[in-house]
Parts: sequence; structure tokens; C-alpha cells
Amino acid sequence: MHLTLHLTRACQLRCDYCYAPPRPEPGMRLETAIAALEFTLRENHETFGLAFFGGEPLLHKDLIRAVVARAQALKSPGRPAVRFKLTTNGVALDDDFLSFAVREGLHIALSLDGVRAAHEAHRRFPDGSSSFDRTLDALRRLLRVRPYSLVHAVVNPDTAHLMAESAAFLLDEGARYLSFSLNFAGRWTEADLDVLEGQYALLAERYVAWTRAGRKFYLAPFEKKLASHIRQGEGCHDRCELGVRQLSVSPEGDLFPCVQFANDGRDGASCIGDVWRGVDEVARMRWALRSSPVKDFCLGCALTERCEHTCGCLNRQATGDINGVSPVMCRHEQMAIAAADRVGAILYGERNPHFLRKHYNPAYPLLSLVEDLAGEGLPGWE
Amino acid sequence: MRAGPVRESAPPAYGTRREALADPALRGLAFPRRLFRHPGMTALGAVVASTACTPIICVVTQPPTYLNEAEALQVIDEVFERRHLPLEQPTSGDRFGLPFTPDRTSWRFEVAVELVFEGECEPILDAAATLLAEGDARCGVTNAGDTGDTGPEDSERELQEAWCADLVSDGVCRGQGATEAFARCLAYACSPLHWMGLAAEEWTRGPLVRASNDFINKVKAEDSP
Repeated sequence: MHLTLHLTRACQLRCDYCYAPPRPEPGMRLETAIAALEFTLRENHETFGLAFFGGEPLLHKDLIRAVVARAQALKSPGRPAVRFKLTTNGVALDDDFLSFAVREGLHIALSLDGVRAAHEAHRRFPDGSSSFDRTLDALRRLLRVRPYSLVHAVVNPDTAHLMAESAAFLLDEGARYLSFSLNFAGRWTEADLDVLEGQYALLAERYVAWTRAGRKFYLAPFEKKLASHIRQGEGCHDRCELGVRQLSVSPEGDLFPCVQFANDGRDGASCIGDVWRGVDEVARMRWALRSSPVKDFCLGCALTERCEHTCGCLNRQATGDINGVSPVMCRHEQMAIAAADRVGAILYGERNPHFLRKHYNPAYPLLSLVEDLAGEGLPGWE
Repeated sequence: MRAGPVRESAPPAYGTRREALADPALRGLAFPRRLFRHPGMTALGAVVASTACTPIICVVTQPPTYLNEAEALQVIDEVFERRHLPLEQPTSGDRFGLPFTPDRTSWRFEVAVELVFEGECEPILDAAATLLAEGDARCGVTNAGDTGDTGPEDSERELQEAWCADLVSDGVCRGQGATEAFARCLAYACSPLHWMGLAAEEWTRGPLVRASNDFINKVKAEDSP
């Protein structure tokens, strides 16, 4: 089970593409968070990932510390260990919290949209000033203690031309795990998507070059698209089990099928319970069943097994309907798959050992790590 | 907008995992045979090996540790219980998780107990090499716990100090100390597998870690034929 605690709807930033525009509020109460934790433990899932989300979760560091402490206290044989995760804009990420995160096994993902121009085009403080320097500083401090942390970058129509440059920038900053995703709710034009397609082509060239140089990195969506062929469908359809494998908890303690729904309100159709009474199983299954495995828009498409069209959250963001696939997503998925396949064809064709190990050896993470530890790895990064 | 179902799509010009593994040459590239070893290794070693499809964790031990199979499995359990190794897939794809985290179900644990003579290091390496060879493994790492005074009565601090004293060059890590040392070796070797780089500070800043890093730096990478 993946449980997301929306600790607050407040945020220090005013990112203009945010699907949940921030508003000041006191945030989640400790009792609510503990109830969510205990309710999920009672459900006795085999696994338990607990994500702190927002708004900006680091506005409530004490709450996070208290929840983690409670989870550690509830740890017992037979119960799954709780994996803690947090996504932050980095503004309030200080060394003290980093020490806490490392000590408690709290994994931090950072939202940073790439180069300065890409980031500050949309991620600004209320007074209009840029958050780039603060976030970049946070990245550097995070990577010092968590070198494998994930960086989330959002691509907008007006920043699409910076995607490849942003990937290179982040890799050069030392980030190895990068996830680029589109703001599907943005006003994409055909011309914007042509630019994006050009960026994918450029990024494919760089992916090949970086791999040939032995650099280690994870770059979504390339990795997922490659995996969807190499491992035959893996990686694309494992996200959307609305309310079944994931739940979002609003600051008030109401339960929702996923993060995009958490602001719908208690009386909204997407509310499927609360942390005190638990999940309304009928409502939960209704949502799970509403998310059809193949969307009408996609009938007959040869790429459905490699495409993100099943993600109810993204569909809702783009079209307002969990089963509504936007043409932007369709076009994006096609270009991403094509770019990844070019990468795969080149590197597989030349039998590149790094590519083969990365994508064909299930133990690659372990082996790669051993290489790192033994000082053999990271050529090109020194 | 140019969007809509793709009616026909040529298969990608690169192989699936199944296809690649059926090709011995590709398989050899994807699963290089390697044995990292430490020349001074004595007491016990952990071999983390991967076969073509299944990672295997093997435990190699010797007197005076005398880990039997059940005890060795217990050690592995302890390591996993400490959340140093991944036990499951991230529950939401790569959204928050380390994307390359292996699926627990794809892991198989094999424990090979090799009793070798105290003070001898080569038998450990031989055993490791044999495991790698006979198990059709393509990669392995050996680590060593070490020396003398880390018996079961010793404290965690003493154990750490023992490591700090550069004990990996000689000596024997006994009893519980050996178990702990092994657990730490294994955890150290595998920890960043877990989602986003678990315990980086612990493993990169602490005194134990500095010793471990020193140890790792001494590990001699020797590619087996």
C-alpha cells in the first residue's frame, strides 16, 4: 500500500502549473496523521510506503518527525516496515532535517525543473522572485548525503526547448535519477510538441553518448519505455490502481484514490472514506473499476502496453476524466517511445555492455553499487 | 494534433530480456563474470552473486564462526529487517521509488556453508570462486569481517572501533562479532539498493564507514576469466 499524507495545502511557492494551488491553512493535525498510519497498518498490507506530500510537506517538519517516530514505535514482527518518502520543493530543506531523514530512512525527492530558465519560468515565490537558487542549493546538499535521490522535473510548453539541456545540467550537478514529466494540463500546441519531439531526439543522442561513456543515470521516461519492451510491458501499467494500492489522505483526514483527488473535499464523489472510519470498500472498488484498462481513445492502438494512458491521475489532470486520454499525452507517449526505441536499437545493436547490464541484468542496481563502492564505477563522472 | 491510435508498429530493433539471455554473447555482456576480492580476507565472506536470472546471496563461513545454514539465513533476515535491502517493489512505479529496485519475488536466497580452516583465507576465496563457477554466476563480491577481539560480548562501539583499526587486513572476527560484521558487510554492499540511497550518511561519514571505505578501497578487483 502506498499512502500519501497531504500534510498541508500551503506552500512557499506559487508554481503556475500546480494542479493544487496553495492556500494558507493550519495543516494536518498529528492525531489525523497517526490515525492514517494506524489505519493503514490495520489493513495489513504486505508493503507500506508512506509519502509526505503537500502543498509543501517541509512546512510541517515536526509533524513528519512525530509520524516517523510513531511508525518506528509501532514496528513489530509481522508488520511491514514503513518506507518513508517525501517530495519537496527544497526551499525549507536544511541540514538538520537531512540528518533526520538519513537517520530514519526517509527518502527525499526534489522538484527542480532543470536549468535556471526552465525552473524559474514557473516555480516562483509569491513576490515573483525565482526559487532556482534555493532549490539548487537544496539539491547539492541533498546529493551530498543521498546521492541516489530522485529529481522531478516538469516540462511545460514554454520550457520544452530546454529539456535536453536541463537533463544534462542535472546530471552534471550530480543527480543520477531524473524523471521528466509533462504538464499535461498545459496549453500545448502542435508547434510546442514539435519542439518537444526535437528535444527527445536530442536527448536520445545524449543518452547514447552518456551510456557509451559509461555514465550511470536513470532518465525517465526513457528507462520506462525501454523497460516496457525489454521486460514486456513492465513499468507502464503499475501505477494506477486508484484506491487499491494507493490512497491519499487530505489534511482533514479524508481518503481519496490518488493525489490529484485530495482537494476534492469530503463531499466530493472521489472521497472514499476517512482515517477514522476507514475505507468505504464499495466506493474504493467503484473507483478501481472505473479506471478501465484500455481507454476508448486507445482502442486498436499497437502501443497500449507501452503507454501511460492508464494513469487516472494524469488523465484527470489533462481532461478532467480518469478515462479521458488527451491528444497531448498520446502524442507525447508516441514520441517518447520512438526516442527510447532509437536508443535501444543503437546501444543493443552495438552490444554496449553498460546498456546491456543496465537493462537486461536484474541485479544491475546491486552490481552497479558494488562498482561504485569499489571505486570502479562512475567513469565520466570523476 | 497528430495523435491517435497507432495501428501498426514495427517491433523495436532491440531484444527483449528473454531474447537477449538466449544469446550467450549478450548474456555474457549483461552478466559479466567478476570476482571482487580482498587479499587479506580471512574469517568469513559474503558472496553476492547473480546468475542469469536470479540474484543469489551466498554466505561463506568458517570456524570459529561456524554459521550453519539456519544461522546464516537468520543473518540475512536481520539485514533485511534493518531495511538495508529491498524487499519489495515501490508501490507506485518509479514515482517515488528507486526505479531499478529489484522485485523481491525475483530474489532467491541460497546459503552455502563452507567450513574452512581458521586463519586460512584462500579457502574462502576458493569457495567463493567455486560458488561463482558452479552456480553459473556472473558476478560476485566478497567481503570480510575481521579480527580478534570482537566476540559476542563486545559492544557495538568496540566492533566499530575494531573496524576502524583497519582489521580487515588480518585476524578473525568471532562469534556474534563475526555475524555483525557480516551483516554490516552485506548491508553496506547493498544498502543503496533500497529506494533512494538508504543511509548514505551512515555509510559515508561514520567511523565504521570510513573503515569500510578503506576496506573497499583495498578490495582488489580481479576479473575472473
